[in-house]
Amino acid sequence: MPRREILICGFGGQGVIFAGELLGRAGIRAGLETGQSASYGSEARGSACHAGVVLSSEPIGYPKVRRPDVVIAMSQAAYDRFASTVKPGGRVIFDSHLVKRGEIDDVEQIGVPAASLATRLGRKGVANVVMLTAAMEITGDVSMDALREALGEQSPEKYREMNLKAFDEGMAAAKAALE
Amino acid sequence: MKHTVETVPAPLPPDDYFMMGDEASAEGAIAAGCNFFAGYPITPSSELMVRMVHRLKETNGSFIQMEDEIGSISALIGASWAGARPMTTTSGPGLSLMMEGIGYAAMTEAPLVVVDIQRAGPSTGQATRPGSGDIFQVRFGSHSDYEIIALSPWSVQEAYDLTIDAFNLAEAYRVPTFVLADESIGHLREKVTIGETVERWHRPTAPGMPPFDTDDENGVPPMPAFGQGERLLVTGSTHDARGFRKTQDSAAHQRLVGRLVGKIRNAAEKIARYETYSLEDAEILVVAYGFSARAALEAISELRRDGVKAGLFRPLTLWPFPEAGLKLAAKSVERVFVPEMNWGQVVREVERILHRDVVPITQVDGEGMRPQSIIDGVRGRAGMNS
Repeated sequence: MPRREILICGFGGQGVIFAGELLGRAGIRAGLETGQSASYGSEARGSACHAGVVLSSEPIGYPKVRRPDVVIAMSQAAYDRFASTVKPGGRVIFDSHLVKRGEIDDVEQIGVPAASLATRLGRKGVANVVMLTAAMEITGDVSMDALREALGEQSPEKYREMNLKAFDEGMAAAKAALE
Repeated sequence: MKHTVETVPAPLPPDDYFMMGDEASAEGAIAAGCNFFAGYPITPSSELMVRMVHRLKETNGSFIQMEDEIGSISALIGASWAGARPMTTTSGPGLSLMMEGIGYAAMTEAPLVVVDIQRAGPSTGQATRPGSGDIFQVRFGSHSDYEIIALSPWSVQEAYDLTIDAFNLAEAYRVPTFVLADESIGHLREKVTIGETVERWHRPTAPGMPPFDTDDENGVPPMPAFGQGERLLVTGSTHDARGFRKTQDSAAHQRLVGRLVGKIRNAAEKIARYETYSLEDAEILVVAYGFSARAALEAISELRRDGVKAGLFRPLTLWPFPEAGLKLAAKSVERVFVPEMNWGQVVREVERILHRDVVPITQVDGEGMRPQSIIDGVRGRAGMNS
C-alpha cells in the first residue's frame, strides 16, 4: 500500500486524538508502518483540533500529514479549516449532523450522521468511533478487523462494550452512506 | 577503566508496540535498568515522567516528584553516587534550572541521563510546540570546561534505542548524558519493535582504587558507591584522586579538568554515530538531526525526483559530533545546508568542522520542520528556482 495520509479533525472533547491514536494502532495491527501526530495545547479544548495519521506498507520518511488523502471532519469549524486541504481526487467524510458542506472541486464528499447515531446509542461521546469506523469502511485504508482489534485494546474497560457497539453502528452507517 | 557488559531479557515482551516518543524513551530507560527517577513535570516531557511513575512502581525502582528542576538534578547526582542508574526528563525552562547540577555531575563524574524534550523557546516560549534550541545549552550551559554526551533520536524507535544507549554511555564514561529529542518526536506515535534482549553497560569498579583518577588511558576511573564500605569524598571543588579538595594546587586542577575533557574528546570518534542517505553521487549535502532529519529525508527524495542530486548526513550523536564522518560526507559536494528548528546552532558546528560556507535553513514557527522548508531553502540558495 502506498503512503496514505488521513487527517481527523473536530473540536476538543470530541475524541479526535483518541480516534487518531486508534487508527494508528489499527495500522500497526494491520502490519503497516504508522505515524500519528496531533495538535496539542490549551487551544485544543473546545476549538478546532486535529490528529494526522500516515499509513504505508513502506518505511515512513516524514511522519506528519503534508496533504491529506482523506479528511474526516467532525465539526463545522474543522470542516471549514481542513476540508479544502485534501488532495485532488481525495475524500472528505464529514458528520452530516453537524456540518453544512460546501463545494470542493475534484473531491468526493460523503456525509455520515455520526453525532445523531451516537446520541441514539445513548452516548454522544462515541461519535468519534462511529465516524472513524464509517470512514475506514468507505476508504478501505485499514482492515476493519485490525480497527476492531485496536478499538478493543485501546478502550478503557468501562467503555469497551459501548465503543464496540459504536463500531457496528459505523459499519452500518458507511453502507447506508454509500447507497 | 573499562565498563562491564551485561545482557538481560528486555523487560517488555518482544513485539511491535504503538507508542509516543515520550513513552518509548521511558521504556528505553526501564530496559536500560533505570531504577531512580526524580523530576518536575513540564510540557512536552510530562508523558515520559508519568510513564516512569507506573513503570518504576512495577519494577521496584524509586520515583520522586521534586520541588523543582534544581532539586531533580541534585537528587540524580546523589542517586548515582548511591549506585543507582538515574534519569530525569525536562524541557527548556527546566533544563536552564539544571545547569548548575550538570556541572557538578560532570565534575564529580556521576553517570546520569537527562531526556530533554525540546520546545519552542527562549524562556517559557511555546510549551506545546517543538523547537531544537537547546543544542548548545546542554554542551556549554554550565560554566567552565567540561564535556557531555548528547544523542538525537529521529523516530519513536530511536527514542527507545538511544535512551538505552544514553544510560550505557553515561555509565561507561561516567558522564552526564542527554537525549535531545523535541516535541515532534516526543508526541509522535509510531511503531516500536522491542527485541529479545538488552545490553546494559555498568560503570567500572575496582574496590580500594581511587575514584577520581586513573592510569588507564581511557581516563575513566572506577566508581564505588556509598554503602559499599569505602571512604568517599565527593566535591565540586578541584580534588585529587581520592576526592580531597585541592583548591590551590595548579597541577591537580590541570590534571583533573584535562582528564574530564580528555576522556570524552579522546573517545569522540568511538562515541560518535551517524547515518548517511543517498550520498554516492550527491552534489548537495543536507546535514540534519532529530525530527528535522525526517523532513530532510523526504526533501532529498523530492529534490532527486526533480533532478537535484541531494544527500543526507544525519548525526545520531550531536556531542561529540561525528567530525570524521561529516568531513567524508562533505568531501565532494558543492553546497552544504543545515535545516534546524532554531535560528542556527548545529550549522555553526558544521562550519567549524568543514571550514567552508554552510547555509542555514531555519524554520522557527513553532511547527515541526516541513520538507517544503528544506526544498525551498535548497532551491533558493543553490540558485535552482523551479
